[in-house]
This record gives sequence, C-alpha cells and structure tokens, in this order.
Amino acid sequence: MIAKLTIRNLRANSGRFAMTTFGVVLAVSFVVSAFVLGDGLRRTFGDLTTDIVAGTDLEVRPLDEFGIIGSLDDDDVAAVLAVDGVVDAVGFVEAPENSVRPITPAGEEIPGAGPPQLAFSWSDAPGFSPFTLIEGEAPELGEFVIDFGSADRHGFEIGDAYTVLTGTGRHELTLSGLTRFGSDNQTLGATLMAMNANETDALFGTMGFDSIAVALTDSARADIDSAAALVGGALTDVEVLTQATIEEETAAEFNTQIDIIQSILLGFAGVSLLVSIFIIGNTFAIVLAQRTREMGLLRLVGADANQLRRGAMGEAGAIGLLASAIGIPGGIGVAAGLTALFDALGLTFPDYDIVIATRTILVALAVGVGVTLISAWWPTRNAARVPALAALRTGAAGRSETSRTRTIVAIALAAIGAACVAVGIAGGGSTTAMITMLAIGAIAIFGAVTAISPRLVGPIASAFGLVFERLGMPGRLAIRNARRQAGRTATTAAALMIGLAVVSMALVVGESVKTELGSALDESVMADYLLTDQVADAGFPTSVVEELEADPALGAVTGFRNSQMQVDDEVVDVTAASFDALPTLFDLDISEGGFGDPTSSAIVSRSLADEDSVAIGDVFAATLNNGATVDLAVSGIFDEDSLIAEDWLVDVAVYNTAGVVASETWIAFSAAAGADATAVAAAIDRIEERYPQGELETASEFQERMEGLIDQILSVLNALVALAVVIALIGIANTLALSVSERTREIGLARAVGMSRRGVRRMIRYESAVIAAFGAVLGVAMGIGFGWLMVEALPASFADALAIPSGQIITLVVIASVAGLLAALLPARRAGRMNVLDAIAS
Amino acid sequence: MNLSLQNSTIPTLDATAQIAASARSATKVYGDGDTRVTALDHVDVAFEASRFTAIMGPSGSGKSTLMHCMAGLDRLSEGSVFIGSTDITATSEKELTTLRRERLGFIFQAFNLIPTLSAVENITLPSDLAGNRVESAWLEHVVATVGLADRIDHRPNELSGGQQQRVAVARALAGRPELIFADEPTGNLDSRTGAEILEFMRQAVREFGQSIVMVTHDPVAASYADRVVFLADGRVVDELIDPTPDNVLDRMRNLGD
Repeated sequence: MIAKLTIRNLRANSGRFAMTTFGVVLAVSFVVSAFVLGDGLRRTFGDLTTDIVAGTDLEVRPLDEFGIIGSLDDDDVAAVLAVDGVVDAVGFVEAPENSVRPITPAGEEIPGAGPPQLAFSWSDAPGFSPFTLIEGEAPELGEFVIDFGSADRHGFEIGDAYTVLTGTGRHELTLSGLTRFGSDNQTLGATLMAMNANETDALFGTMGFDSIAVALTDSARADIDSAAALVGGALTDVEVLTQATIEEETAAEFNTQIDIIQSILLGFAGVSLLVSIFIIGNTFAIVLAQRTREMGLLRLVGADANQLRRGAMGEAGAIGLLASAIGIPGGIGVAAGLTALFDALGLTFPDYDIVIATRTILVALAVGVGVTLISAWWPTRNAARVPALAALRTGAAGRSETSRTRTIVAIALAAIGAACVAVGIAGGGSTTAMITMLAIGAIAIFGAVTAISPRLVGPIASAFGLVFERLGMPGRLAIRNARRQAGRTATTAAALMIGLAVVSMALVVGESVKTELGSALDESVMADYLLTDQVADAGFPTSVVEELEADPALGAVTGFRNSQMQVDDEVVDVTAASFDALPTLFDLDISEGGFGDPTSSAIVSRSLADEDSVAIGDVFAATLNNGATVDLAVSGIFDEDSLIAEDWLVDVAVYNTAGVVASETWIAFSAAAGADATAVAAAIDRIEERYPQGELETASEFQERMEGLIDQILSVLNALVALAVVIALIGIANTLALSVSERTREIGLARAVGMSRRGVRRMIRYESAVIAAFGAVLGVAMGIGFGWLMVEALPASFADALAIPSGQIITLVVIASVAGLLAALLPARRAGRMNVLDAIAS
Repeated sequence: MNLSLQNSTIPTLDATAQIAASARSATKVYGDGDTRVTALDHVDVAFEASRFTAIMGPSGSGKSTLMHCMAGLDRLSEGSVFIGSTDITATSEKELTTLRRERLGFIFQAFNLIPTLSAVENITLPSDLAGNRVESAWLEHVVATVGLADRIDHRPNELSGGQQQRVAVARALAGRPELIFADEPTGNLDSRTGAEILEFMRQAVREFGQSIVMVTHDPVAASYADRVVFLADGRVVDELIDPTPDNVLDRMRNLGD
C-alpha cells in the first residue's frame, strides 16, 4: 500500500519533482561524462602507446641525472650494434614539442593550442619506426615527410617547398613523402613530421640522439634483463628500458593528462551535487509540508511513522533512480558536447571510443540515488513525525525549526573550521599541505554558515528591508514572508550561496594574483622589450643575445639561461644573466650587498637567504651541470622574486668559463639611448622574422597577456559555476512555486482586501529577490573569506596581499538578485492569476 | 442550571450494556498562566457498544477535545480513557497507532480521503497499512450498503462530496473496528446528502452492531443517534435518549441558561 502511495504521489507531483531532478541529472551527467571521456581516452591512448613502441625491444637513453649532458651519437649506436644479440639499433631524436611548425599552403601556422606538432629524425629501419612511408620518398637533406592525415587536413603536396619554423629559425624544406603512423594513422590530431637524421641538430637545435632503439634476436629477447644489462654495459651514463617499461611510462604520461580532465569534470559534478542536495531537501520539505494533512490522515487510520518515512524515502529513491537513468545518456551527451566545445575553441580534441564501463553505471546510480536519499533524509524524518491530529487541523501547519541542534552543529563545525585554518596558516608546511588544511577548514566553515543561516535571515532581511519597505505593501510582505519561513529561505538560498562563494573566491584570488603581477612588473621592469618562447618553451640559441648586442639600435640586452647546479649536495635551479646589463633593465630590489665579481659571485633570493640562513660573503662550492666546479661567493640578496623564479643568479661569465651549455630561456632588452625609432622598429621586425617562436612584447603587453591568461582560467571556472547557479535559480523558482500554492488562501485574502494582481506578482518577485540577494551576500562574503585564505596559502611571489575586485563582486550580487526576480516570473504569474473566491475557499 | 441528572457519575443508557469507550475524570488544560484554558473539566462519560452516541455542545464546549482524547489522538492532562477495557491514558505513541489501526475507525467533516488512491483503495487503506486483508464478501457488503458499487475505481476528485463521505463511512466500517469516531461527518454536505450518510451510520449500528460516537452541533444529525450527550464549558451537562430534532434543539437552547 505504501509502495502504491509512493508511486501515486510521484505521479501527482511529477512536475515539481522534474525540476528537482534536474540538478541530480546534471550531476550524474558530469560524473558519467568524466568516466566516459576518461575511459575512452585511456583506451585510445592505450592503442596509441602500443603503436609507438611496437618493434622496439630496448630503448637506450642518457641517464637523467645531474651533471650528465644527455646526448648520444653514432659511436654509441655502433657500440650498441656490436653487442651480442642486437639485430639492429637506430638513433632517434625528437624536437621539443611544438618547436617545429610548418606554414600551411594557406600561409598560416597550425594553431599551437591544439594537439602537439612533433618532429623526429627519419629512420626507415623497418619495425622500429612507428612511421611507414606510403607515398613519395624518404627525406634527403632539405626535405621532410609528414603524416598523410595532416597533409590532407592542411593541403600539403609532395614536391612543394614549405617554410618550417624551428627553434633555430625559418627553414625552407621540400615535402618528399607522406607517412602513416602506426597501423591506421591514429595521431589524435597531432601533426607528425620527420627530417633527415643528418640535419636534425641543425634544424631542431638538438645535440645528437636522445634515444637509441634496439631490436634483439629472439633468443636475446627471451632473457630481456640480461640483454638490457649487456647493452647498458657497452655505454656509460645511460639507462636501458624494456618495451614494457616504455609502454608503462608513455601510458602514465597520458594518464596524468586524462586524470586532470577527469578531475575537473568530477569537481564540477561535486558542485552540482552539493547544490542539488539543498534543492532536493527543500523540495521534499515543502512537498511533504503540503501533504501534512494527508500524512496525518494516514497516521490516523493506522500508518506508523516508519511506514510514512519508507514511503517518502521510496519517492526519493525513485527520483534518484530516474535522475540516474537520464543522467547516464546525458553524460555521454555532455562528453560529446565538451568535445565539440573544445573543437570550437580550436583545441582539437582527440577522437575517442565511447566506453561505458559497468563501474560508470554503478557510480552513476550510487550518486543519483545516494544524493537524493541523503537530501530527503531530514525532511522525511521530520514529516513522518507528524501527529495524527494534524489531519484534523485546518490550515497549513508550520513546523518549528530544530534550532538548537542547528546551533550546536554550527558551533562544532565553526570550531573545526577555525582549527583547520589556524593549523593551515600557522603550520608552515608546503603550499599543498596548507591548501589542503584550508580547504577542509573552508568546507567546515561553509557547513557552519549553512547550519546557522536560518538565524541570519532575520538580520539580513531587516537590512534589505531598508530598500524593500519602500516598495510599498508588496515589498513589505515579501520581506515578512522571507523572514517567516527563515529555514526555507536559508536552504533555498544556500544553493546559490555555494555557486557565488566559489565564483567570488576565484575572482578574489585572480585579482590578488593580477595585482601582485602588476606591481612586480611596474616596479621592477625597466626593459623596453621582453622576448619569450611561448610556443615550445624551448628558449633561444645563445647567438640571439650576441646578435641583439651587436645591433646599434638596441642598448642593454640580457638573456636568462636557466640551468641547474649542485650546492651542498643539493641540486638547485640557477639562471645566468649579464650582470652588466641587468641593473639597467630590472630593479631586482637588492636589499643587501650588490653585484660582485662576474666570474665568482652569485646573488640569491630573499627566501633562500631567510630559509637557509645564507649571508653575504658566504662561499659555496658549486658543481655546474657539466661537472665543472666553481666557488661562488654570495655578493647580494634580491627581494623581487616575481620575475626570477630561481634562487641563484650568476653572470653568464660563470657559464662561459665552465663551458656550460644552456639556451636563453628568455631575453630582455631596451632600445639604445637616443636611437632612431625607425631603426628600433627595423631591429624588432628582424627579431620577429628570425625567431618566429618568440613573443616580443613590452612589459605592459606582457602584463596584459598574463592577466588575459588568468582571466581565461577564471572564465572557464566561471562558466562551470554558472551552471551551478542556474540549478540554484531553478531551486528558487521551485521553492516559490510551492510557497505560492501553500499560501493560496493568504494570497486570496490579500486580493480580497484589495491587492492588485500586479501587487501579488510583485510581492512574489520581491520575495525571490530577497532570497537570491540573501544567498548572494552570504556567498560573496564567504567567497572573499576563502579567497583571503587562499591568498595567505599561496607563495608571496604569486599573490601577496588580498585584492578584492569590488566592481565585479557587486555586479555578481546584482546579477544574482535580478536572476532571482526572473526565477520568480512563473510562480508570480500563477499567484497573480488566482481566482480570489477559489483561493479563499481552498 | 436547571438540569437535573439522574445519574451524575457515569451516565449510561443501560447499566448492563457493554462499554465501547469511557473517560474518567477526563481533564484537558491548554496553555499556561493568562492563556490557560480548561477544555475538559473532570468529564466522566461512557459510550455503549453497538449504539450510536452523539456528543453535542456549542463551539468551545470541549466536544472535539473529548473525542480527540478518547481516540488517543491527544493526551489528557488528568484522568483516564478506556477503549473497551484497555486503559490508553499512558500508552505509547506506537501502541496508539496499532490501536487506531486495529480497533478504531474515523469519519471526518472534510479531507477524508487520500487523493491519489481510488475509492476502493481508500476503503481498504487501514487494513492494508496493518498488513491485513479485508474479507471480500464483507467489503462488497459494505460497498453495497453505502451505494458505491459502480464508483469503486474512481478517484476522490471524481466523486461528489456525498459520495466521498460515503467512501469514508465505508472505510471506517470495512475494518470492523470496535468503535468509530465521527467528527461533524455531515458538516460539509447539503441536508439531503447528510441525511443519507447519517442513515448509513444508523444502519451500520442496527445491522452490523457497530459502535459509533459522533461529534456534531447539528440537532438534526444528533437526532439520528440513540443517545445524545451534551457538553458545555468542558463538562457533561445533560443527556437525551432516543432524541428527536425538536427535543435536541430544546435542550441546546437551555444549555446556555
């Protein structure tokens, strides 16, 4: 009987519950899409991994250790070939990702933000190379080959010459042939090129091979570990990897990327779930409150509290089940939508198989049903306690809040939150540990605010009253109505609060980071131009600095050559610049000492000096990355660490004397004093022509671009959170619609004593605006608080002081309130249309 | 007061009759201090089995409170209540639920039916909740008695007010409870439909030996009962055996004096 009632109730309230279900459907969809995408990509990349390593039994690589200059040459290949059991060995080199970019026949670069553009040394050793030549010839000097998929896509033709941009400049190369990658050229959108092995160093700026692929005889392959040891023994400072290890390594790299995508989607699912919990809980509370008399009647004719609860929980379970059922195909849709979105943004997403694992379906069901049951638990429990006498009472029975429990919970959560925050800030652990503690603290505080929020409705609504009381009787009634059911107002607003808390926290952190970046650049950059490698992140040949120095139109020039060295048995990052040019290009805020002897001194960062008690005059025996040693005396300490992330700064003379090889990671320069503007412009044009990988900008352009990047991250986050806000608004509309039907008599009465339809509509809309504004104010307040915690947790070079983008924050509150007005459109219309007599009679 | 009660302790129709429910020194007080209201003031009353008893009184006389307390829906401040020989004064909520389910039936003025269940589902609801089955011959007999045979699968909103109330009567009868409490069962009905319902109730008492206690302020409705108990200011002030509308009205008029 209870089951029958459950089904009938679901049918009777289907419209109401459909709105409620929306949030759960969305959440389930995101969970499913995370898994579908993740599993699909994993399978696709798994196939790809197998293609890449097919045929290679062993791979020889330079040992990845400090002090070893990693490169292999023909002698090494010959040494490997001489080893017993080796059938063949070929050296390979791969250019830094995206550093080799062809200009298409349409005269454009292939967008750098999409799948990678990769270039290799060509080898036609059968079985080794994942490439098979399917048309044309292997590349001779001055030639290259490309995978046929990319050739089709961009219209490359065999025999034509194309400009190819590389780390060493522009090159004219003729397309000699087309290749197929693996068995079916599944490149996942990547552009794959190969050049003649004899000119890869000149083209890519590499030195020798970065790996040697080895094929073994069947007998040697049977004892792969001994074979690996033999090959390793033939060379020094190398590691030898088996096919299985390479496959695992490659898969692990892909998986890291896939995990990131998956975490983002799951994170969003989490926000939707959190928001949904409030909305479902609220809808249940109201629907059950409306059914109070009916439930009383059931109690009267003999239903016990357990039966009523089971019935209501059954409804919740069925809704959850339905939401999951819609969410599973929905998730596949979301995955497809995201793929399309990425494509539209120019970030070609790899084609992937749609994989629906049993696990995905089970998780979807658990999430959908679980969340609905959890949300419905409290309202159901309260409703089942309805006394039988409720059936005989007239009018809707208002239930009192269990405010004492709420207060205790709030205090407990606030205490836990405060403790976590205190430990997080005072603990002095790593940034990750700090953020973890703060995140736990923030969630606890969030819970505390949610628990206590019904109590905040009164005071905050009174404050809003200053505005709304002026809007006449509808405004006054709206405020009173919002206050009358403080618990409901608070719960409805909570959903919006979550969304706005996340958005405003992101805005505050973003603004603080921008402010720090802006002040750092303003105060410390005097250079006219910054040249950075935004494409491949591979830097520039050292010859660039020499060319710039030689240009009479230009003045001070320095590069920054990042490398590593060993100090006190610890490997540290070091960068080399020109001590000569540096002071005129940057103000590093050297608070103690200054620049010393270029060949034997270093200046260190303030954080290193403080943490490791390094003082002026301390001398360190440093081993550079080529094994050379040099004694470095600390001559100064710099405080401005926003531009130079390395703790150690030395003059280029240190590198040059020791013969350290390192490219220029970035370069800064100014125009020569009194130089002719056209000469400077010509010099700049030449640089841009010569080094197409470079981004040449002024300090303020650089700042704008960095701010743009921050805004881009924020906008992605905001777009996701916007969905949570939409769910929250649906929740408000839902609550209001229920309130309207609950207050039918009251509205009828107001109409009977002379309130106009318009007045009724306004009353409902204002109430909605009050709820939305309440949620927005609490959310923004919490968001700013959390933002402050984040800023505290981040390193000072990243975000130092709290900066609040007040304009954006106010806009956010206004938008939320206006959206609240919109959410009330339908319920308000319904309230306005009520027939006065029917309303009173009900 | 000019009333003279022959038996002022426990008024009964017949000293040998079985008692379906009784109250001893039943007192119910609401509120505290200034808002203190005594709804029932040491009421002693007994309702015989297989009889139709009406409780009458003006608004605020305590008639509904008496019924609620006797049905175990509300608790007395003082005194005790018996259903048959069971003292339910201190029974737990859970046991009261079982008691209602198995031994009592209810008919109300309005909102009597679960809107999502059909007429027959409403009729068998108490038994279904208890996990029992209504004997089908009995169910048919009850349904036929209230004249609902052709509307049995309709939802409440497809039935007229009178038909809905007939479903409610059938529901109360279906479980063969020891006692049915009816609270203004004809309050929302026109007089002709009301008369029909009252006739069914009387028929149930005559034919099935059902015990019914009805709260009403309508003298015509009260005249269908075998006996009328009058309440005023929380006290039993009078009673009438085999009432007619006229003498009920007469007594009512004298209550305020």
